[in-house]
Amino acid sequence: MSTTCPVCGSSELKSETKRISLNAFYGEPVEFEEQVYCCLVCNECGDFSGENESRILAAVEKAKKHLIGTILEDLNELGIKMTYFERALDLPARTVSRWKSGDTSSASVALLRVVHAFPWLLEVADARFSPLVVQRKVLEAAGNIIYKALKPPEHPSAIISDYRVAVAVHATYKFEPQIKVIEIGA
Amino acid sequence: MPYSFADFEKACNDPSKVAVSYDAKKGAEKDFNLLTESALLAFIGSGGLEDAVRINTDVWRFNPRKPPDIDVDSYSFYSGRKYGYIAFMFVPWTAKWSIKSFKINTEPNLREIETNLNYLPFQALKELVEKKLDGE
Repeated sequence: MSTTCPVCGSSELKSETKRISLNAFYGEPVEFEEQVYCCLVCNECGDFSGENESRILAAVEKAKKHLIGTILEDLNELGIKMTYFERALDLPARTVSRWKSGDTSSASVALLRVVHAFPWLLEVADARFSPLVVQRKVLEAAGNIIYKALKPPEHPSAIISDYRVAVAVHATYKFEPQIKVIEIGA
Repeated sequence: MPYSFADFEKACNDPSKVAVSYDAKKGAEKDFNLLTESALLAFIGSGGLEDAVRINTDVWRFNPRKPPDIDVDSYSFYSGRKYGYIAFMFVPWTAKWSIKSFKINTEPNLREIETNLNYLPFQALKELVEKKLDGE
């Protein structure tokens, strides 16, 4: 079957092959070849033959495998044991081993990406998602970010303000919520 | 040709009824992380365009039939806090919808402005810090 323009129905087309770099996830972009058709009658351009879909999906699959390996290495470097990961998140034993061997789903990749971005979520999960622990960990994470962003004072007069910021950061660690926290099932 | 926005959304559940232009495909990939045409169509078909509002109608400039008798409609929409722009048309003689554009809307994002006014994520932290500093 010959390829036609899906918009105007013309068969007067030109096509070209483009080398595409896809940044589907962080890390190394994956490359693949894309076939692009342009209609000489109505100027529409696109994947008129539908052949790019499978190429993109293959590239994404390759990127996912690479991503899972990288994330698991990073978590390991943070000292997070996979047995702890599975227990905190109520996952069956050896789930991570299955992921390592390529038995993954979109949900497992999404979960890994979330934990990779916010490793402290494991502590929240381990505390059965207690609202109190959620608030503590959020503030702790915010305090860490502020603390790391502090620069050594350039002028003696800046010491006081930096001291005040340091006190503020310390305060986040001592934070006691003033709102009533309702524990589910309590 | 008169149509309802729901007709377009419904058509997106059947990929054979909708053509996605190269620009729309690239915008969906870059701005909304929708990497394939089928992912884009499934997103629209399952009601992903929140609070869609028609913003403009323009003649399809490259219509090969004269006089031009097809309009391209553009809509703004939201997806979470992202503010988007979509332009599409219906071509009666091929009985197909065509998505011409799908990208971030560069007009002011009212949802984000409202959200920021109602929910200042660091307001509580700021007040806490000020209280602690006053007490020290």
